[in-house]
Amino acid sequence: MEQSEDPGRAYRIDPVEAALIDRLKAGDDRAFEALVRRESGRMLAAARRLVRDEAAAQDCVQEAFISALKAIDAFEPRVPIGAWLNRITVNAALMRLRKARRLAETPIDDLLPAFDADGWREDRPEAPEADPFADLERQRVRAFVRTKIDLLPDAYRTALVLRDLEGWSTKEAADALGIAEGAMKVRLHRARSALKRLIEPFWTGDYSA
Amino acid sequence: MNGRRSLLESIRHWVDRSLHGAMTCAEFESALVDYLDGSMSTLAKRQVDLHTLLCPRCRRYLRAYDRARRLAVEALREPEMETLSAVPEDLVQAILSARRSGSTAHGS
Ligand SMILES: [Zn+2]
Repeated sequence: MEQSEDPGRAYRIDPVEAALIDRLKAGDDRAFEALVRRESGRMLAAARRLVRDEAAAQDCVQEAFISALKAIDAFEPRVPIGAWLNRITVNAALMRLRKARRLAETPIDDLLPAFDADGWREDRPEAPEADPFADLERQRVRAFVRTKIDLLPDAYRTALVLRDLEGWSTKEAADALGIAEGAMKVRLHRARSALKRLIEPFWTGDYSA
Repeated sequence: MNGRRSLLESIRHWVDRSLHGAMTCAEFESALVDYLDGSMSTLAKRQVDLHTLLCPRCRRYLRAYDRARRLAVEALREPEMETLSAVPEDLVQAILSARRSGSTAHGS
């Protein structure tokens, strides 16, 4: 499986990929179509996770390809072209959420952990050691978790997706969302905590909800 | 709630604090992102480790928090696998025609 970029290791481009990029820079129609067919599925999935609207997600992918074409002459393959396109797509999706003012933090206090006056934690149900599930069961669990992620307000879901799924650093995510790094950490933490609370029924085997 | 603490509560608090590694659960909570990122000083990390060791509630909490995080990644990745094999043809055609109209408009 392709992994997200690893800043610690220099990316070494393979010759087929290098040839594709040369053809794209030369304006080759068939190279462009090949790229669209190869990458748009992954890009669409990335956009859907953020905007949660099929038409808007497809628009993001289209915008991303248009932006990418404008920037292709300057593209230096320090990362695979798929990772580059993914990042452009995510930025297009974030821009859309920002324009729609969907990135404001809304209160989710009832989903966050509670502490007593001395700072000691309230008790909560315990998570099992592992998920001993067969494939079919795993699919149900994942579907259940997705319905819970969908309950998170956009600001929190976005933080979770950028950091835990896309693998962006705190700084990258903070810059993209236009907030300070400290605020980004708080938001990510709230998102994870709220999600943990939402999927608690699963710890006790009830993931039908 | 009440601003003043009884002597008994103060003692309990002091004992708790000593037993839980000089860190309250609330402090543990606000250290979690850095802790899991591995972006903490050795000393601060030790404090979190010690609190985890001594506080069963935070130990359980950390396990559930980490589990939720991993489940979320798995859950969000799954539809991506499905999309890879089924890109809407309409979308592909829309992108290709957007490029064509874009390049003629620029006249390049
Ligand atoms: Zn604790």
